[in-house]
Amino acid sequence: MHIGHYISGAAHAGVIGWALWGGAFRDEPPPFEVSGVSIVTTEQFEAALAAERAPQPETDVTAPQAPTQADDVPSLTSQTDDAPALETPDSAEAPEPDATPTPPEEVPAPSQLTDVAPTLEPPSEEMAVLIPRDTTRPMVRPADRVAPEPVAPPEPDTVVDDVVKETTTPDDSVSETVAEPEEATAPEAATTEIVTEAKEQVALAPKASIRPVLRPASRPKPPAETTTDTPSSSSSSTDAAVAEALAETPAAPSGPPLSQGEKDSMRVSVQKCWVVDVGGQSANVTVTVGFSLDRDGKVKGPVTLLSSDGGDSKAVDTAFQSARRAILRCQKGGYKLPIEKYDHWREIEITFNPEKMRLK
Amino acid sequence: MMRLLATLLIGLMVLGQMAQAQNGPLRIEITDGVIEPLPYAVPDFVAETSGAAELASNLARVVAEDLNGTGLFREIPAKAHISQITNFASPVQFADWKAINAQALVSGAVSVSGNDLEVKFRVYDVFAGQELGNGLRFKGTTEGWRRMGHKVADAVYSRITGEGGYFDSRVVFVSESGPKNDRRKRLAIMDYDGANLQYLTDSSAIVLAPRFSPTGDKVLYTSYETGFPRVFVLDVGSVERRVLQDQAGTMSFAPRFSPDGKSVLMSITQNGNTDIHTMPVNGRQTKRLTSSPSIDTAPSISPDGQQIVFESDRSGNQQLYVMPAGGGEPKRISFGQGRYGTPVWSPRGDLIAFTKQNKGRFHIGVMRTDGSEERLLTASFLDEGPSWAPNGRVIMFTRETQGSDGTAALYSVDVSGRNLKKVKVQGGASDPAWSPLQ
Repeated sequence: MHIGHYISGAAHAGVIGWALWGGAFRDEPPPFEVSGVSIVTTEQFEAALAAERAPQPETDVTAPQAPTQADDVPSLTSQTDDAPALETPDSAEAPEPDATPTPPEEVPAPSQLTDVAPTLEPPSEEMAVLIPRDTTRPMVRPADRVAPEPVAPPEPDTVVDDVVKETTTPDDSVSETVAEPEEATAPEAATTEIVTEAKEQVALAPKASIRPVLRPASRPKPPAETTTDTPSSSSSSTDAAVAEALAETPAAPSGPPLSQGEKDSMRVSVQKCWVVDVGGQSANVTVTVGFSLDRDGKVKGPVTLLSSDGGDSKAVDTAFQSARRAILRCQKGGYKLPIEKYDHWREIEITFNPEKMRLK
Repeated sequence: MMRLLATLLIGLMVLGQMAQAQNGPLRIEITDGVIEPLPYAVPDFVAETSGAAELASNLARVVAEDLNGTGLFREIPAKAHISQITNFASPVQFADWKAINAQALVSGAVSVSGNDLEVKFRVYDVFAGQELGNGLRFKGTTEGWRRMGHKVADAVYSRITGEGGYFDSRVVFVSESGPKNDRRKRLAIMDYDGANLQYLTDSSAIVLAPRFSPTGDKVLYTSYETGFPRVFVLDVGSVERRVLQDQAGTMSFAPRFSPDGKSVLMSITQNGNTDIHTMPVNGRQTKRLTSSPSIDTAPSISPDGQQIVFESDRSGNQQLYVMPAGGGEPKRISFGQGRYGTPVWSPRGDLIAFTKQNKGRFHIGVMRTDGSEERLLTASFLDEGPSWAPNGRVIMFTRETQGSDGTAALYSVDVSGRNLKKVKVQGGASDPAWSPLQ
């Protein structure tokens, strides 16, 4: 405890002794610099500033020489330019005065303008759609052919490529040549209606969707026809002739008739060859023609006109020719009809009615 | 009770059998066909005399171009032919023509003797294997070989379609030259296909709306050579003309012959009012047929001479009206949107062609004589002035293109709206009028 007091007393004594004998209370002042200051008035100060800002005259600039008159004045001539000669127009070839411009149509004052609400055409009952009718649609490709079933245009022809490729060499190990299937000609492009120039600007959306054709219901095949008894070899030639004549005579058809699908098949086969001249008088004529088919489905004998409705004799004759061409042209190898029902299609009558076509 | 049930059962069975059995032939009705050009072949005609080979080939080409131009026929090119016809009298190998799907075949022969030309031909229905009609022979001069070709084509067309042709016909029109603001117009005449162009007037005065007489030897037209529109009549053969109506203080225009060619319908403007009048071709007295304060013009008379269709703005805008040929109360027949004008009665008598302006576009259209079944056939910046072919199957009209450098040209279109095409004419052309068949 006493040691702390001794240390503190010694330190204080040392500090007091340094202050007394170390020079902390010396009498001489430290040295400092002294500058001379002169007092001036405001006028004198402004005069001194103005003297510093005043430009100093340049003494080295050369004064420009005054131009002499003879060098710069251009020489003037006393002659005036000649006036352009005006050609006197020939009275015979005098150009006609410009046509009096047509005054523009008067624009009515705003007060005369009346707002007219656009009239909206009510949609027809058959067009229960929300899209606007005049929506721009892709244009239909013009086709010379109009048919019940539209046909898309064929793929573009093959073009020669710029890049030359090496041909492949046939493999010798394959001795059997494979016959390539023959490519069928693409059907001619067709549309389902005549698209006149006036129709091309309207919306081309179909007004009604085309219903898919129902597949004919499959029916059990009828039992095969029983073969008729052939005359025995021992019978006389007269009997054979009579029997042959009886065989040629069309018997009353028996068994189930053609199904609707089979009839439709025959109808489609003929109608795709039936060319209708919709602008001609024959388009006003309905004809019914009759003909016979052999067992191969080929026309046997003449095609005859049974009846007609509408048009004069020339139009009827033209309509009949068109119907006959359709039947003969589309038979090709024979119409595909069920042979077991031959008795039902041995004789056929087809009515060609162009009434629907006229509306297209 | 049991007996009654048995009877009913047996009856039903019999009815079922009867329904199942098919009496008589198979009957089918076809209502959908195809619309397409009929493929046909017309090989070069047989030259039966020396020096006739070129004409034989050229005649076949004229026939083919006429038929192809209708849009109803499609020629099978000669390189596809299997058979060659070297003798006009030889039987036709129908199988060869069937193989290339030629539905019709035209064979012909030509013989030349000095300036005389003889052409004969036959038409065959290939698939029926028989001739359509009998062979026919034309005699003429070598200078008129093109016209003989048209005659053959008319006969072929008639035998296949059952209708009269229109190839041996001419068209009178207004030939136009120069810029749009200084256009020179004069009457011209040509074959229906643009060949044999001839001018009937000079271009010193503006001429408008020429119309053939029923016999094709005279032309009515409107000229401004007196300073005012006046109706003139011109003889096609001599090119002599005379003013038809020159009453002081009047203007006359839009003339058209009556079906008998004895009188003329026209519009006459007097005291600011335009009405339809009729006057005899060789007379001076006119008779007024309409009497309304509106503009009544563009009259066209029906082929039977009983009715007149014309345009009038009596309802407030331009519409079509029909009235009796002797005058009477007109009946409005056009009720669609837009304005209707320049009606022309079809030579068949069943349709009226017209110009329609609607929503900034012009159309050529047809309608029934009662105004029903309106169909628009064309659409462009400016289509106007329809004229019927002599068989009433084709319509020729003026189409003008837009802009200061726009030009007028003649176009034709089938009455069905198909086969729209430009008529080959040198220079600008407008206001066509088809002649009757020559």
